[in-house]
Amino acid sequence: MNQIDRRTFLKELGIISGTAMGFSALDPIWVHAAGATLRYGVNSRDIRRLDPMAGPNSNDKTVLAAIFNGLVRTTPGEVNAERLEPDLAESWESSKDLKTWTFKLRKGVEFHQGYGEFTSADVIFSLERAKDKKTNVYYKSYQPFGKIEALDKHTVRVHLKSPQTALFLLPTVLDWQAGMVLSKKAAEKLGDKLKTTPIGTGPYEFNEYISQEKLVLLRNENYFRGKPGFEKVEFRMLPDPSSRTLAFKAGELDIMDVDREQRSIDQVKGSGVVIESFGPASVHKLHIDRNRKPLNDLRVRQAIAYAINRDDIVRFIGQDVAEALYSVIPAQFVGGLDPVPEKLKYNHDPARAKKLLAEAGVPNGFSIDPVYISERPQFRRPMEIIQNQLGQVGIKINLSVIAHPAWHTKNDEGSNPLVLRAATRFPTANFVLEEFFLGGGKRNFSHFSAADAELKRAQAETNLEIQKKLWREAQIKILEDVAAVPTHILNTVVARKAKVDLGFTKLEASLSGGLPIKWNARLT
Amino acid sequence: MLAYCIRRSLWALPTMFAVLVFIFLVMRVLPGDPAYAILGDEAPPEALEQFRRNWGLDRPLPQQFGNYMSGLVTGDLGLSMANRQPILPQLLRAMPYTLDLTIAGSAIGLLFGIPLGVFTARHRNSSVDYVGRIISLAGLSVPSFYLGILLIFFLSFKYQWFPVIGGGDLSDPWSRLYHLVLPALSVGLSQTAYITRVTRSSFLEVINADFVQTARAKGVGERLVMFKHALRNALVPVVSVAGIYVGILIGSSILVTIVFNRPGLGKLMVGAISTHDYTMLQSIMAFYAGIIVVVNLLTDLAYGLVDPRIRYS
Amino acid sequence: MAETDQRRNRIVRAIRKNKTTMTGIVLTLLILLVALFAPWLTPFDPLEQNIARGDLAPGGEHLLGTDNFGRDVLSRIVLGTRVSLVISLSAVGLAMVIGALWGIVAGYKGGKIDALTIRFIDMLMTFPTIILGLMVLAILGSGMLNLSIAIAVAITPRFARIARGSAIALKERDFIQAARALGMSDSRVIVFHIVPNIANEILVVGTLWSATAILQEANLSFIGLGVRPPMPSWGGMIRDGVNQLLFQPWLSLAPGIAIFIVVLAFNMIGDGLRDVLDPRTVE
Repeated sequence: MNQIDRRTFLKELGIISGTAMGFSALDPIWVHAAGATLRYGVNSRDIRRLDPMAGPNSNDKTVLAAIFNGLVRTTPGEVNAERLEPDLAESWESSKDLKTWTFKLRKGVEFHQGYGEFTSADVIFSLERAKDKKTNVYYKSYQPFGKIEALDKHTVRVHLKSPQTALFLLPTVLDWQAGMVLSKKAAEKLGDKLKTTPIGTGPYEFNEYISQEKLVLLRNENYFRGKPGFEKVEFRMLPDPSSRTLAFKAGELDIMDVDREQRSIDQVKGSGVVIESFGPASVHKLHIDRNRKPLNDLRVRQAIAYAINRDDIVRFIGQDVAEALYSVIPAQFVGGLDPVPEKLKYNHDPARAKKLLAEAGVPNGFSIDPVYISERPQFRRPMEIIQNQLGQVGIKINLSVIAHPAWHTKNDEGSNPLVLRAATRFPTANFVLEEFFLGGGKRNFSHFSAADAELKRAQAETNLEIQKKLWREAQIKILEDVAAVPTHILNTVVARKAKVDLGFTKLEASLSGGLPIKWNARLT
Repeated sequence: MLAYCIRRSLWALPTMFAVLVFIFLVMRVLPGDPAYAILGDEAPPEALEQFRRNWGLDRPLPQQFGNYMSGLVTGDLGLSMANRQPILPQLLRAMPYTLDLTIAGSAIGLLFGIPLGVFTARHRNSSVDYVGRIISLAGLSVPSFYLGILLIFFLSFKYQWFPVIGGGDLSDPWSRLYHLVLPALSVGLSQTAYITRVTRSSFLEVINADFVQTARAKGVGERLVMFKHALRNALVPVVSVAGIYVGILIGSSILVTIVFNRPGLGKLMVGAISTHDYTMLQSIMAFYAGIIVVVNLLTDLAYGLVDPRIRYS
Repeated sequence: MAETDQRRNRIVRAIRKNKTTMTGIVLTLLILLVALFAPWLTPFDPLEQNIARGDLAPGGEHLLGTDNFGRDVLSRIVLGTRVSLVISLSAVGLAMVIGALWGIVAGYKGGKIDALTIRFIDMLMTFPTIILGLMVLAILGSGMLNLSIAIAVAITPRFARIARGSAIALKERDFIQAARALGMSDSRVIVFHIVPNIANEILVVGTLWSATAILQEANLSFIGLGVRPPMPSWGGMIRDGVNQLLFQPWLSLAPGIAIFIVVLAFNMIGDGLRDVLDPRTVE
């Protein structure tokens, strides 16, 4: 039990009696004394998807990351597919042809709420569920999976239909998305209720959920790495940034999501507060529909690229959050283009843009009507800047701000000539490249296919260096064709009280969507 | 009288039905896909199709409508698309906050509005009346959400007298009250303005009416005349416009809810709109519509009770 | 004819005497002038971004500071006057014309049309204005025209109801009966006899609803369904500024004051008109 020390107690008392009506925005003192609750204010209306395979969004993922484990995990604080660690699997090995993978499982790990010991049966159950499109939205990543068998209670062998290198196989069994291991017994007992009652092996177990208000996790006393540092972890849904900031400053929250703009960060900065800005980077790019006149002219697309001033966008959003992006795959990703050739950076040059437009036959510019954008500030505000910048060279955009889901519909049906799309994917190049730039893809808003050869060869390739070279070539082709203009990347920003120790030294990236809550995180 | 009651009540049913059809059609016409809203930006395209199939969004409209209506009738509102939790418990959980705000807002409106209305009517055309009328005009001219923002800025930020977050803990009456003050004031002030004006004008009508003059002539004390005779009759029009008030009240509450991030039906509704959670949205709209229809019905009945002419029209 | 002339003069005199109404009229005229000459009155270009000079506090060159994009807040408020007035006044105009015609035809013709109309009106009026507006905008999308339509949809039923009531009353009057006996067609009766007699009442109600229309525009813009960027709208400006209330309060507080002044002006006129035209309160 934490004891409140005298000074803190008196300080709290002093603040309370200092306010006019005797009311205070501070929490009652006994919350701090009771034996550490970690209070996390999330930027979300609700935490809805508690089934890892049902397509959780980033806030759901933060919760799930504390509840589940995978066979492997990333080193806490970073996300590097070339450096993964054991989690529920103690060790693993593959056959020479990379088609058979054997995992040795940890012994003595217990599921939450008495659902028994973790065994191969649970791994097989989870992976079979992951293969099934009816139960897993990410089933495509599991298509190479063939037969999965248990060699004994603590050994699992996976047979693949095609060879997979460690770089591609291990992320599918990571403590992330569909790699999270579910309890077979719980699934059998709960049936459909499994979707709203997550049962995992992680440091914290699911306890209570009040829609649009809070979600509570309790300490898993039997966690296999050690006794977790908090008795309770409480997620409070606070989509309104002012309320969240105020609650944090008043001591009602220990951690809070920060809106990804410098202004929001500046409001929270202060003594005793640490601002964590981490990846994986959210890649923002402006797709240009190459099938539409006059965007089908390369010179027009180049003009758009030259008209855009990334520095202004980054300055608007803020240095602590954003960084200019020169290729659709950031340099820090595996397979990122680094360095980007100078002339493919299309550095801000409005004069050159106007010249190109003249060459293309539209010296006085032209208008695009309408261009749809989501009402969410993360998209709308940079788009307003881009609208302004394009206007400076004569390209007039009639911006129609619509609801976020409606915007997606417009993009998917091809009605949006300029799509400012963001993507937060696993930091290996192929995910973004294949999703957005492979011919025929549903999200290939640019209708681009010139890099199909490179991308398809990279898919079949098992030598990492060759794969990286192919991905780089694809990116160069994308830049030469200006299928999309990469604008910026956004980091995830979370503020925490300095007294919250995360349990590891540096936070560079985390797949959990928000701040990772590891078992050894605690209050100092 | 009974015939009137029955006739009027029966009217409410087709109105309610029309409202439900309207809501349903609007939901389906809304551009935008709940699948995206709920699964998130990063969901793969296959997942979105699966979602649509799971929720029957690919079935023909009449069939969807049939499911919707039968659900309403049996009281099984189904699951919210967004979080797959049953809708009815979520609505019920949000109710206390909404009721609190509605009742508090109306209470403030009535508590301040009626006396102010009477006061300004009695001191008609004096400077007090003039000031009172300007103030009530001003009250009508401030958007309720802006009032909320002003209150937050001055009372929560500059002087930290009041909390900004949420609705407080339902189980703790002090917390509940504490979180109610500012939102209720935001809603209540515009209510006060409306009620003051209606009270004033109807009171003026009544003061000069015959039966009041008669009472005075009979030597009944001024105070008694005012309160017993005049006020009771003056309140009738106030009641009759209750239907409109409820509409305004709901409107203000929704906006105030957004500003204060306060749980309640308004917050559920706005959330449902942004995620295109059809099932939740339909239920909430149906609920609001139901309330308004019922309130209109009750006020019409009450009015019919009081004013015989209405009964026979 | 002479009777209506006399009546009109009496009304005009009464209006002039009423201080509130006069203040309202003067204010409104000023506001209309601002709206009309907005582009010439703005110290800076309301649409020009200058990110390096964003979030400046009020004072100096920028009397009301700059917003996140570096645009001058005062200029945006001035341009917003035009935006607000165009949207709300056209909404009211639209609602008046359509609502009145609909109500008159329904009231005059009676029968099935009337019964259907009254039910439809009741149904539409069940929805609080903001919900109706939200639904219409969600379908049509954002933009000034759609905003006008959304608000118009919400207030048309009110006009229809009033027009219908008057038409029903007028229908029984002698001169109408006479015209019909003479064989005048329905449409001629409506256009030449009913409409002129209802016009005054409708116009008064129109002024009363103008204030509401402006408030509704602010409400809808605040929720986020307003005009398209980069056009400024007061409700939209409040919304954009609300997240920075703690540090840059002027972004939200200033536009709100503008809304207040305009709505107050219209309310003053409406109030005065109501007083003046209601025979019972004229002493």
